[in-house]
Amino acid sequence: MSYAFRYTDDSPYGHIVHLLDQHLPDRGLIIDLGCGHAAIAEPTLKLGFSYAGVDGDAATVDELNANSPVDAFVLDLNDLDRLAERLDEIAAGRPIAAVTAIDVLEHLPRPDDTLRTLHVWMLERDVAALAVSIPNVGHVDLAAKLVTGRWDVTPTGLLDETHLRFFTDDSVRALMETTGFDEIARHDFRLIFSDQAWPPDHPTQSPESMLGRYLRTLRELSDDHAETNQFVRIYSPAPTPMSTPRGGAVRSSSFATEPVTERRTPFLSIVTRTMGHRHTLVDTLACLAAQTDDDFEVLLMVNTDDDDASAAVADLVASFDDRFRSQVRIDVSTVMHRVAPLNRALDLAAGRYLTVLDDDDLVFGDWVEQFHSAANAHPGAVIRCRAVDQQIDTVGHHGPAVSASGFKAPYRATFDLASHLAGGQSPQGTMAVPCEALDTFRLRFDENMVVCEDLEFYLRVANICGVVDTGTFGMVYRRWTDRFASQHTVSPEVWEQSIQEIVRRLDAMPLLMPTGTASRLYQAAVQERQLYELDQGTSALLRRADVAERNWASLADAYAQLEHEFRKLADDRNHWVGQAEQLAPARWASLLRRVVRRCRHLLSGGS
Amino acid sequence: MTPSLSVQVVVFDNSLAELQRLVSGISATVRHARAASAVDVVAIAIGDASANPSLTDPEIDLLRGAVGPHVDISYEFFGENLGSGGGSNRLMERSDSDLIWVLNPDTVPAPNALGELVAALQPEDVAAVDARQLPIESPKGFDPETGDAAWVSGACLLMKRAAATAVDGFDAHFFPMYCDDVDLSWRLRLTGWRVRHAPTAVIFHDKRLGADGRPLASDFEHESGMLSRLFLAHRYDRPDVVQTTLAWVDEHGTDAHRRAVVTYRARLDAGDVPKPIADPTGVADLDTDYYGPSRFRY
Repeated sequence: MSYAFRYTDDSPYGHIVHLLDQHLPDRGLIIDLGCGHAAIAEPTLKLGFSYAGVDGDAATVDELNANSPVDAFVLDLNDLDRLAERLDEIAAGRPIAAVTAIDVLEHLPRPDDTLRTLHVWMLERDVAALAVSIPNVGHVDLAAKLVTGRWDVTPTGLLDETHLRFFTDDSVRALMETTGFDEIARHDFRLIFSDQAWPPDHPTQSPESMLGRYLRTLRELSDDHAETNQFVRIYSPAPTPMSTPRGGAVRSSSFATEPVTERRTPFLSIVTRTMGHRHTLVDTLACLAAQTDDDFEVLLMVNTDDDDASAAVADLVASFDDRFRSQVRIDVSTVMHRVAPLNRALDLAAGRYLTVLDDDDLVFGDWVEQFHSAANAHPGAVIRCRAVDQQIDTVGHHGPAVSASGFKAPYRATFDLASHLAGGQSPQGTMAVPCEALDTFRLRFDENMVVCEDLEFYLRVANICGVVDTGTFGMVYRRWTDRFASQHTVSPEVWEQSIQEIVRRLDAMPLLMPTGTASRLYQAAVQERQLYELDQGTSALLRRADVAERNWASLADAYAQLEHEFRKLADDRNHWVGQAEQLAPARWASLLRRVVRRCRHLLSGGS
Repeated sequence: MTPSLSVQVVVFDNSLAELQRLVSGISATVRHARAASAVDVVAIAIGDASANPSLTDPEIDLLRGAVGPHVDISYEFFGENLGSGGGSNRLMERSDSDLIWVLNPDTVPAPNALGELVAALQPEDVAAVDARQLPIESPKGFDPETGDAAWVSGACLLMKRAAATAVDGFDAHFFPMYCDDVDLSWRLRLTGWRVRHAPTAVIFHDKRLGADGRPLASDFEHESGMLSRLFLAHRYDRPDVVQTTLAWVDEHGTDAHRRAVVTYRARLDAGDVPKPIADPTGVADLDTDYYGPSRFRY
């Protein structure tokens, strides 16, 4: 089938032409394999290239030759025996700048064979580049549809009914590397909504639906091609093809990946950062050397520019028995950074799960075993054990660190996202995270965070994988006594800022809630309702108290007034009693008569 | 002269894996100590107090392979349960080493452990030293300057054989286990020896926590611990402590504690108890939770 798509700059054709223009200073012949209606002929001719269209469909070729200025040729890309010869015939001795294959490789039953043949021919003819455009079946629209069981083959587009092969970024890389092509540059064609973005309002398709948004978020974490519609890339022929792709899984061919059924080994990668000066490292390593389950490796990330400190760590590890020594890898970095060694360790880790243990933490003998059995029972989940706190101090000023308190168990027995935001509830050594999730979703510690980068990291992983609690105590989180507080304290403001940043990031994405969350939400809602009712009752009481207070104030005023009057009366009485005492009894009668007269006068309206 | 060393481990139904971890740790710390000329000839003596042998010949060979040719391993099946103290005494009788290192089978020494213990044992008047146990450190107190302690723990105890034999080693009456180390320490101190804690010497002791975040103790440990407390009070002339302990068990004790009381009374009647010491003044401390000063509590 041939397609009559028109050329625009913002299309896979436009991107191909852009790559040719940018990377081919010598404007020779472009041989356009599977040219269809020769969409790139005109723009490449304008750029000074010459152009030859090639197609397997004779009718299309005839039409091009009859109705356009383009030279077109019939060529069967599956006819490998005649491929080189036919290309030579088409080139007719002209210098060849590049071969293009736009929407071609996915139509071939064995594109790897065609590419290998092409590779040999290109090396022999000194052809500088191969430019390809290949549809991406890893587009989020297809992923979201497949979640609901839909795989809609269409006349054209990502799932064109004539496609024989299906490619993702990974498989394109594998195909090209193993057939002898080194990537020069890429200009992938992106579409937020591909031709598969239908039916309208589909719950996994629409980024406005919570599920659609969550799937998009996950897909975007995995690689940079959630919205890549076409892989548009330009390659040079390598001297020899690679036997296996760089860093890729073992493949049986350029397309097929051997199923990976074996779990990664060892079970656990234990990451311990140290600056090499703490006496406590021997405590931590002694606990690890005594584990009941030795299916682990230790990545000792030594971060120091002090050669002596670094050598001391190496000597310490060398002093352990052969078996344990062989489980420890030491990585020295002189670039002083608190978080960067963690991410480097994530890159180095070979384990199925990964945990981080501080160089003053202690673990119980079955710490690895607990993680291991829980991970086998709940593969893919984050595993969390419990921790106790214990204070440590040095013997004297420079002696060894010894315990300075008993154990406290201040952390929640079970993982809970909300509680973790309210305060650290899981020292790092309580969490073992599946490396498959870290790799799949490119999860790393945020090196720009001043504090709480561990909390931020574990909450991100937990939101995807969920958390299974072992329920048993696995570690002792040791805190230095107040004597050392100034060395370790972070101001509450900085802490709060980091928590707010974590909340902001979590708020920016839908959160997956584990089973059992509904009960917890229900309890929270009931408590909120009870608080509301309590608040209402309290408000009513406060209003009544306010009224009572005002009444009381009035009463107090009235009382004060009465008291004042009473005192005045008492003073008057005393005055009159005094006066009376000064008067002779004979004058009492006269005075009484005057008073009576006066009263009568007043009562009769006198003044 | 560089001292010779006998490492003594009394096992009771312990697994091969557990003993492999132990001998691997011993091997590393012996190598380390030898390199520093802290010890000379080293032998590991395993005494088996189980009802049936815990190890087969091929398994013993596996252990020998784990330590290499520089350390000899011997294995003796006792055929009876001698208890931890009795078992250690039996192994000590077989040894002519200068130093005896008693280790619990559920321990794993850190590489520095032996060298630090030997260093702490250097002073002439020090008879025995113990190590800092992890991950549950003993709360028992010690002098931060001298390391002097009220007693040293038998989970990891390095002592001069001459000092130990002079006081007849452990008292096997503390059967099956517990407090025999306290008793040995006190008897050493009563004869003028010092015992020390070496916090720089690290030993992993495979203890776990219960659901409440406190050190986990099995019924057996509760029973044996209670029995040994009664023996200790009997030994050091503290009938008042015996009586208050019995009263406490009456009021608050578990079944395990009550079994211990029954055993105590039966063995008291049979005379199968530690012989009382008349004047333990200034050494025996039965008025504290940890038989001496403590730094904190669990």
